[in-house]
Amino acid sequence: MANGQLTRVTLGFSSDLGAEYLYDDNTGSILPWGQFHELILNRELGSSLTDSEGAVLKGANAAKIESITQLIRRWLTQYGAFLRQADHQFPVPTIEQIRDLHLATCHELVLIITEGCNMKCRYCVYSDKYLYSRQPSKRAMDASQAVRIVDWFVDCMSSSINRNPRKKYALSFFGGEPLLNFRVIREVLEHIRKRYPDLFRLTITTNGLLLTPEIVKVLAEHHVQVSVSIDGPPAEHDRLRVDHRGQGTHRPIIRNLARLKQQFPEYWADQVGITSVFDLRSNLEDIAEYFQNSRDDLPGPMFVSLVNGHNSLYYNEFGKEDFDRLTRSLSFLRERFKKAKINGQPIGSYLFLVAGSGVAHMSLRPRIGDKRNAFLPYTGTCIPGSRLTVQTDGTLDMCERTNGTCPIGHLDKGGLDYKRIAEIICEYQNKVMQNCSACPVSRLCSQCFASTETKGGFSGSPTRCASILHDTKRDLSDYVSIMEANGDADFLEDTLRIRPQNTPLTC
Amino acid sequence: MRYFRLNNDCFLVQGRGAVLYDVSRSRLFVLDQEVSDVLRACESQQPLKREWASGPVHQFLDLLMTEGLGCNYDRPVYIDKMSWVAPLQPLRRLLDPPVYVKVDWAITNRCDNHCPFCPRQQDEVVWQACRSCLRRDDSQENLSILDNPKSTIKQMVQLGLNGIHIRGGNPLLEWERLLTILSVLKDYPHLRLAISTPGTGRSPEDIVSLYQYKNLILNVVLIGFEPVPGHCRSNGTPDSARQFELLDALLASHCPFHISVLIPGGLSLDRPLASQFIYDRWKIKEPSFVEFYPPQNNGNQGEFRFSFARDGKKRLEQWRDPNDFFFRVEKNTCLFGGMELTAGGSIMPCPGLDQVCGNVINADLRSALKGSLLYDLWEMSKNKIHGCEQCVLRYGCSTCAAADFAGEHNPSLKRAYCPPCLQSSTSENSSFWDHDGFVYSLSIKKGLKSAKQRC
Repeated sequence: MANGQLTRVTLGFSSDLGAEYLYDDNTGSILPWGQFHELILNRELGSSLTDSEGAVLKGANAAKIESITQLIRRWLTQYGAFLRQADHQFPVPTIEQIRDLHLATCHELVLIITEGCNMKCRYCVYSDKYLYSRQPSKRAMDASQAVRIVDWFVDCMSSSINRNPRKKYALSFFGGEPLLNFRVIREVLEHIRKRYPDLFRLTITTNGLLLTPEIVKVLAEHHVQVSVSIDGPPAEHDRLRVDHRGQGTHRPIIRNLARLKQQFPEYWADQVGITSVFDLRSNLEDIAEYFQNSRDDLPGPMFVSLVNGHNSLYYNEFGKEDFDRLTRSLSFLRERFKKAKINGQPIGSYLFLVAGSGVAHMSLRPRIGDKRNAFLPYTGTCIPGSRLTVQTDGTLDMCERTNGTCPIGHLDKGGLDYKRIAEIICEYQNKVMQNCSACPVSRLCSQCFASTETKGGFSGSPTRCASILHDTKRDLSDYVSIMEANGDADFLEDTLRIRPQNTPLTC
Repeated sequence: MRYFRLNNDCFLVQGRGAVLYDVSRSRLFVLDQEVSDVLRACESQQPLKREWASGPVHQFLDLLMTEGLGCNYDRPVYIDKMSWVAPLQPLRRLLDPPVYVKVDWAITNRCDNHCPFCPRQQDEVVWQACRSCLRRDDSQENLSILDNPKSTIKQMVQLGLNGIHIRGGNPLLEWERLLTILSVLKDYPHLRLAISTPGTGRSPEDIVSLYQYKNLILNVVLIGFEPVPGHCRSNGTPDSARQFELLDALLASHCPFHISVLIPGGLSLDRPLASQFIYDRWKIKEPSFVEFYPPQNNGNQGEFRFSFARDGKKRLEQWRDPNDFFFRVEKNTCLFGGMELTAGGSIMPCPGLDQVCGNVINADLRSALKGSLLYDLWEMSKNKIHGCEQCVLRYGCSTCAAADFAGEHNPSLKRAYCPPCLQSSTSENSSFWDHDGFVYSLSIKKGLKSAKQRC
């Protein structure tokens, strides 16, 4: 409903038991809602009520109408709820503002330590199934370059480091398969130990094939958090994650993890986790059961995602029946998750990640006092470079998930290009956020630069927005359905449990 | 079936007694037992009892609706209680910089006075020690940071601090050091600077010359108060005539200053009389009164009482807005954002609390602030302090954190600064506390009344 240049930014939804609610995107509030509320809000916004609408209010309990009126007035006038300027003009950031923003928000340095890989996963983003990504190569960083990048990063961040004594930056080794270039990793670890003790939280994402006792010993000594990719039980994993000969890789990875556990049981428990990916043919129930039953043998899952379909030909080989099957499977798991939360039962990590994280996000959603960035006020995006990614040739990317066609600088060509970052933000404002000011779930949206990237730019998609709106409404509904039945249900604990120790919230 | 639920921004708090916080409109309702029982049943999603469908309870719930505090429903509903920010504190902690606001920096332990109660013992309890010149340690202060104040101040600025409070001992005895610090601070005109001193050791002319630094405010600590009849002073305390002379000079020179009156050892002081004298002579409207008790008085079953309680009543402070309310829920309102750098190089949460959170003897300030204790204390809200966590008035309470901590496991001390109603019985007895008209009483028989009317 438009009111001059103001637009309603609210989303109505109901619980499983039929109670109605309203989500207000300006304040992040969820309010019980109903016919009286809607009529009174319209009246407060200046709409004249019809005779029958007026009669409805007159016939109701006067005290109740007064209570609802006061509540709506408070939210409207005191908290600025319900309405938003529809024709929002985004400010253009200056280079100084971008520099300050980047300093304040940057929390991670990702080193693409090598582009080479000893596997050939069927969904690999560095394959010909993805339109704009680089192809596999043997390019790799050398030790002096990697060390230089770390020094440069610390120098860039010095004022932020001085401002926040507690802050630890993540330093992530990424590939390809980073352990193929372990010699360089070890040099970087030694350099950090000598020069920057306590400044970095170290992580590595690996396929696990090269987790030899010698390598594990070094990683454990330096407290490197290890994220190993396992997609599920042997059949599922070997369907997707194969070596260059097309052979499954489940068995050697599990063998390596078993040895790791025997070698460093505490390290295994505290610092090792699983990253898992599924596609439309994955049997999620079997996978969830596999991880649940393997708790003693496998580290806990900490990241689960659907194979990326953006700018991809991957899903061309799948049909509607695959999509429907996965949808049914997800619905089943959501119901299982809801039931467990209502009954206060423990939730397995995989089940939480695949079926419950959206609902948890509703519990942990931004509230009225959470400030939005003036330049990127909508969607869930970060400032480009918050997860600063350095490619093997020194190119700087905004994060490791982008396709590389929109760099934000080069190590040997002036470092971070703040002017380019400002241009990228403006393009995102114009191409992706142009309709967000009228969106009722802009605070809950998951879109970001990586998910809206094209070749060298960004684009919005009404279909994607509709899908996000649909999913958010379902998450809100499930959230209140759980809370109606169990007001003590806690989602923060689930969220904290799946994260390795001392891991801050990042995108 | 009918249900009644309090609104999103109304919080029922139960413990020793029960109250209702109307967060948006900054109102506090003290509930009697009957109201407490009714609302507890409602908030636990129980349907309204049949006998409540009419009669006094029905009328009472209508009253709550008319006041905008709650609403009735045809079915169970989830009330998403208001929260100012997303409940992500544990995850944000490592990313968001701490909000450093001010540092109390004791640049020396030296003093030209010999007050018998200074330095204080560790188990003394001081109310608002941060306004005083009481020493914290016996260090010889051979600290490198004092040799290079420029570097130290630069680190403070980098942390985002916007206020520096220089204290001692008597910092005026470190005249050269003080002048160096002031000259460095000229490069940071946004910093607010306060200096607490007994005002002795330098001439009034010298002290007035310090005001070349524009953001300076001097806090002159008076030991006891002679103009108040019957108020005793000890040998060795500063000559009050000289202190008054300094205050007269500051007033005449239009230099901004503040006055703290240090009240040692449980001496009684007619605060209104002292306040009036200070206002009449120096135009200071609200002087600070720093009270402290030596350890031997701590075990006397609460016979002594801090005099900050006006007319024997504890003061409840209205929260300015919801942000302020949730700040009280989440943080320690007294400690948050502050730290003390002692003359011995220790980092403490405040000048009244003996908890060493780090030191700068062998490390720079930034490195010394890496530990978690200081920040844990910042977040030690009254929800987490023993003796306060069951008090239903805790979000309306404004007390010195040092006294709260010291009284955690010392009931007699707690009684010395907290009224009996907050200790053991219900909080409805409003004869023990005072407020500016934001507290009401709610009962089913009498409805809603200003709590003032009940006193």
